[in-house]
Amino acid sequence: MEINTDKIAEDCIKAINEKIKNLKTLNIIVAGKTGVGKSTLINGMFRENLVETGMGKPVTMHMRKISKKGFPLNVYDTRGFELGKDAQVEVKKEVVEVIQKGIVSKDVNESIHCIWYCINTASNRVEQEEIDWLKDFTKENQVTQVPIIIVLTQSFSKKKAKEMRDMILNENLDVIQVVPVLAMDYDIDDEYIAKAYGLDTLIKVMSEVLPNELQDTLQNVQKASLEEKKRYAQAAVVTATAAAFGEGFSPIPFSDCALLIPTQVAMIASITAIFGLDINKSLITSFVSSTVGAGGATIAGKTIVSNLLKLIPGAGTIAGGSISGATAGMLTTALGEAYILLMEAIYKGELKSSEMNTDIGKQEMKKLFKERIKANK
Amino acid sequence: MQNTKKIWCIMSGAVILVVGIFIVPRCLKKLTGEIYKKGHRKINFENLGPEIVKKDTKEQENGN
Repeated sequence: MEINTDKIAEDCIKAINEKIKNLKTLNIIVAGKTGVGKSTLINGMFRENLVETGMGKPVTMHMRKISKKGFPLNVYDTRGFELGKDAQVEVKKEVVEVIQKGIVSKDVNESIHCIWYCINTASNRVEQEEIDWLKDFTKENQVTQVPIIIVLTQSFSKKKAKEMRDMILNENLDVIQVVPVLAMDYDIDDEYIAKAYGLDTLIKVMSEVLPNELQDTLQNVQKASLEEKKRYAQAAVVTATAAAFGEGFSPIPFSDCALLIPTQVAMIASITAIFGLDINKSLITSFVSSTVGAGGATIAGKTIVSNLLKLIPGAGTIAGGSISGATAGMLTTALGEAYILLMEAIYKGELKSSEMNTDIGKQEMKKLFKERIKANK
Repeated sequence: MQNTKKIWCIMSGAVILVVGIFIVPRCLKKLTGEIYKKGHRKINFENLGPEIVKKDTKEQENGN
């Protein structure tokens, strides 16, 4: 059977576009006083440099919505916490209103999925009015149950961050977690810098509280942790492998290929969406043409033998299914792992999409795929 | 008897095909999230803090 790589690449591009278009929108409220480092946190966490001076559409008196067309994330940034008790009451009222509006819409794209309350560790103490605000708000939130995460921003001092975290935990607030972060490298003095940290922890904490339908979106929009993107992509490969293994058992001889290709296309689309990269057709064509047939004669032989075995009813179907399932699973794992490595290289800027179209690029891809097959045998 | 076997074979093949194309991708989405979450290592919050490193000499030179 001849495999049309151009058609597969076209299907992949369609699936990728569809996948990205269908990502659910993640909505986060970022609350806290002006100057605590909310903008740095947002820019450190998400792609697309969301926060720029003057950007954001006012949704209420004390809240602006930061979003970008085609980017599945809305950040609701609160303002006015520092203006005293009355303003804080107003902010609380507006936050509750926005949450309720989302609930009434019964649309996951409109609902508020998480609240980050930001406190600056460098300020040395948590003001009582902030604790009171959180206590009042969490009381109202008992009905709406939106997960609240306290983010300790500018935590360049480990000691201070620990003290502040313990202090907040002692207040027994109804919050999911208190996470210290340093969103950007910080110059301690002329000689030393404190490296940014904590954003990957925030992603993990977020992933624990977000529903499954928003996990793809979280990985797509975040830029803080390549490791988490890779881990999530590997989980996508595991599930696709399990599906491919089952599809290999299809009792109709030579039908497994028809089932396998859509599963692998869906896997490629998922991985691309997780990395949030712009992938063009020529790159996918190069990837497909480099990997198809790279498995060599052993895999082709196994496929033919297993499918011929399926022609024998009963024992032949089982034996053929087992061989075919194992081959399909191995191929899918190798394909997925090779594609993750490719995405990682492009993400890090080690490889340009244009390099993939060259003979050297294709040879490299073929080598990578063969290595993955060998590793998964 | 032969006909019944053939019909059974075609029917089961068709069901597997539909499941493979339409149901599996949806299940994958749910399963992926679960597998990812189960793979989380326990976060040690007590030990969270920045790594302190010496500034790159080149960076310093550029800065100056």
